[in-house]
Amino acid sequence: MRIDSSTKEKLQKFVPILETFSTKWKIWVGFLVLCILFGLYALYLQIVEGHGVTGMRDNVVWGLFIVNFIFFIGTSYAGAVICSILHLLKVDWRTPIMRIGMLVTVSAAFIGPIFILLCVGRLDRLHYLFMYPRLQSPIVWDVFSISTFIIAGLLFLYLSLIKDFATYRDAEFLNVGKFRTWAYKTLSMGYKDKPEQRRQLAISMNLMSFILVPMVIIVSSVLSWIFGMTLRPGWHSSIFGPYFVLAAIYTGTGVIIVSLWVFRKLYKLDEYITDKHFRYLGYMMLALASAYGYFTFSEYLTSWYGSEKWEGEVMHKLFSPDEYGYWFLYANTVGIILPIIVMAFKSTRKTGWIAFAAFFMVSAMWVKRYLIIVPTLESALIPIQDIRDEYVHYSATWVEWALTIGGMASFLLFMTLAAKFVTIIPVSKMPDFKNNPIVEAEKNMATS
Amino acid sequence: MNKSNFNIRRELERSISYVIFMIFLISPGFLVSQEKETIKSRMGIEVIQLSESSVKTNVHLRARVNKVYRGVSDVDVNIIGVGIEEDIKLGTVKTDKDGKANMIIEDISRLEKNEEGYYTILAEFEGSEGYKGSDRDAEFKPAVLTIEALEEDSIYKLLIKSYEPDSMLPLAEQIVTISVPRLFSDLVIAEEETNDEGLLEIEFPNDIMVHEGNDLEITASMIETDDYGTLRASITKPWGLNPVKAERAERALWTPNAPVWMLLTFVGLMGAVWGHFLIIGIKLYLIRKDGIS
Repeated sequence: MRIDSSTKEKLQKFVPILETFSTKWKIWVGFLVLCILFGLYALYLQIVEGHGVTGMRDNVVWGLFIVNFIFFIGTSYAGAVICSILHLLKVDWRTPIMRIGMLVTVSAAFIGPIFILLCVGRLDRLHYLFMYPRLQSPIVWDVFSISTFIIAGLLFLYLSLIKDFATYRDAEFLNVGKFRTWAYKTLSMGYKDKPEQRRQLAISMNLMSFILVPMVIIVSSVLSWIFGMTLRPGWHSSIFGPYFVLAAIYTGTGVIIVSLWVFRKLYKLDEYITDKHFRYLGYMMLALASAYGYFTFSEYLTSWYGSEKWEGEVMHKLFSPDEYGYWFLYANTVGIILPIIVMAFKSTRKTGWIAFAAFFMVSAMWVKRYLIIVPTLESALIPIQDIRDEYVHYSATWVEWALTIGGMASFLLFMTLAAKFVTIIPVSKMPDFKNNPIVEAEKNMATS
Repeated sequence: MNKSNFNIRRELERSISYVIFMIFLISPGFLVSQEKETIKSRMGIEVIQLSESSVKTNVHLRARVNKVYRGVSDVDVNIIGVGIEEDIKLGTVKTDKDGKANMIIEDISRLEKNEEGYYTILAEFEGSEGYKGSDRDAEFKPAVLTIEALEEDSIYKLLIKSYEPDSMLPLAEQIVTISVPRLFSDLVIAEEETNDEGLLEIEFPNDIMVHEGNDLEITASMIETDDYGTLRASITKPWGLNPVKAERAERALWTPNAPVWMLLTFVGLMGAVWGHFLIIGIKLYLIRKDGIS
C-alpha cells in the first residue's frame, strides 16, 4: 500500500513511541501490575473466605463492585456514542478523538462486567444465565446487551484500525519486532487501500456508527432498569433510563477529555490534539452538565415533593450531613456546577481548566453512582428487630478497595499497552466513500 | 591418686547415667498418669420462680478442656433441697449436649428455709470417669410476680404485682422486663421499675405482630435480683396483630414464561444488531478477499 507523505509524517512522529520502552514506562507498567496483583490477592481471599470479607451483607447486597460496574460501563458507552456521532456527522476535527474514545470504550467495556463477576457468588453457575435465561429479568437483558455491546465496540475499534494496521505493515521505517510485524500483517487483513476495499470499510464504519448510537441508548437504559424495575425508593423512577444514558455520556466525555490531556502531555501531541478539541469537548461537557443537572433536580424534586415514607428516608440520608450529605454536595457541585462554571467564563475556558474540571467531574460521578446504590439499600423496606448495625450500614472493606484499585489499574494498563501497540492518533485518513472527491473519483475510475 | 580419682569419676558417671536412665524410665509412667487425671468440672445454677409454689432450676455443667470451657454432656446432676437438719433429694437430671439441664420443682413448700427465710437448692455432680465432681447452690427468698391484663377503651395495659408471700411485703424498685417471644430471641417491649407498693402498670403496644392467630404470650420478668433470683410470670392475650395477607397482585412478568411481545422485542433487537455484525463480517471477508486477489 502506498503511504502518502502526510501519513508518513504522522507515523514518523509516533515511531519512537511505538519502538522504544523507556524506564519510566516500565516502572509505570510495573506499578500497575503490582496494583492488579494486589487486587488478585484480594480476589483470592474473597474466593477462599467467601463474600464475608466484603462489606456487603443481607441488606446492602451491592456495594463498590456495582458502583465500579456502572461507572466503567457508562464510560464505555460514552466513548462509543461520541465517536459514532462524530463519525456520522463527519465532524472534521474528530480524528484525534476517535482512537482514544474507542480505546476507552473497549477497555472500560471489558473491565466493567468483571466487577459484576466479583459481586456475585457461585461463579460456577454463571453459565446458567445463558442456559436458563429468564427473559423477564433485567439482569438477563443486561447480560445479553452488554456482551453484544462489547462485540460492537471491538468491531468498531477494529474497523477504525484496519487502515492504520496496513500502514504500520507497509511502513519500512517502522521497526517493531517480529511479533508486532506479524500482528500488523494479520490484523490488516490484506488491506491495500483499493477502491473496493475502501468502500467496504467505509460502509462497515458507517453501519457500525449508525447502529452504535441507538444501541448505546438501549443498553444504557437496560443498565438503569436493573434499578428502575425494582420497587425500591430512589430507584423506581421512570426517568432512570434517560438519566443513566445522560450520566454515561457525560462521564465518558470527562474520561475522554482527561485521556486526551494525559496523552497530549505524555507524547507531546499538541500539534494533533489542539486546544480546539478541548474547547469543543468542553462545550459538549457543558451541555451535558446542564442536561444532567436538570434531570438530577427533577428526580430529587419529585421524590422530595411526594414525601412518601421510604423515599423520604433515602432523601434524608442524602441530605443529612451525618450520613451522605457532604458526598451528595460534592457529587452535585463538583459533578454539575464546576464544569458549567469552568466553561462559562472565558478566563477558565482553557485546556488545563477543562481537564481539571473533567477529572473532578468524573470523580464526582463515581461518587454519584455510590449514592444511587448504597443509601437506597440501606433503607430497608422490612423493619427487622435487633438487627446488627453492620447489616444495615455499608462500609467497603479493604478487599473491595483492593479490587477497585486493581480494576482501575487494569483500565490504565490496557490504555498504556494499547498506546504502544497502535498510534494513539489515527495516522491514515478514515475512509469516507460519500462526499469524498478522491474516493468518488477512484470509484468512478474503477467502474470505468 | 590418679587411680582413686579415676574411680570417683567413674562412680560419678555411673550415678549420672543411672539418674538419666531412671528419668527416662519414670517419664512414660508419669505421662500416663497425667493422661488419666480427671478434669475439673464447674457447675452453674439459676433458679427462676414461676409462681408461689413452683420454681424452675437451670443447671449448666462445664469443664475447661484445652483452655476452653465446654459443656459436659450426658451426665447425671442431682438437684437437692438443702435443709437445716436434713437435705431432700428432689431428683436427678441428665445434661444435654451443651451441658445444660433443667428441672421444675412443683411444690417448693416441702423444702426447709434457713433462719433468714431463704431456700437453698444445690446442684451436685458426683463426678465421672473423665471429670471431677462439682456442685453449686443458689439461695432465694420466695417471692411472687403476677401479671394481669387490662383493656380500657381499646388501650392494652399490663398490671404487674410483686410481693413476698410470707410477709406480703412488696418488691419495691425492682426492674421488670416485659417481653414477647420472637423467632430467635425475646423482643423486649418495656423495662420499668416497680413502685413502692411493688406494682407496675404499663401500656402495651397494639401493633405487635404474630405469625398466626392473634394470641401473644406476654412475659414479665425480674432478672437476677439479689434476694429472689429470677422471677417470671406469663399471660397469653389476643393482642397480637396478624398481618392480613393481602391478595398478591398478579404481575404479568411473574408468569413462568415471558410475554410474547417481550420475546419478539428481544429477538427483534438482538437480531437487528447481530444482523449488522453479520453484514460487517461479510464486508471484512470481502476486504480480505480483495486484498489477496
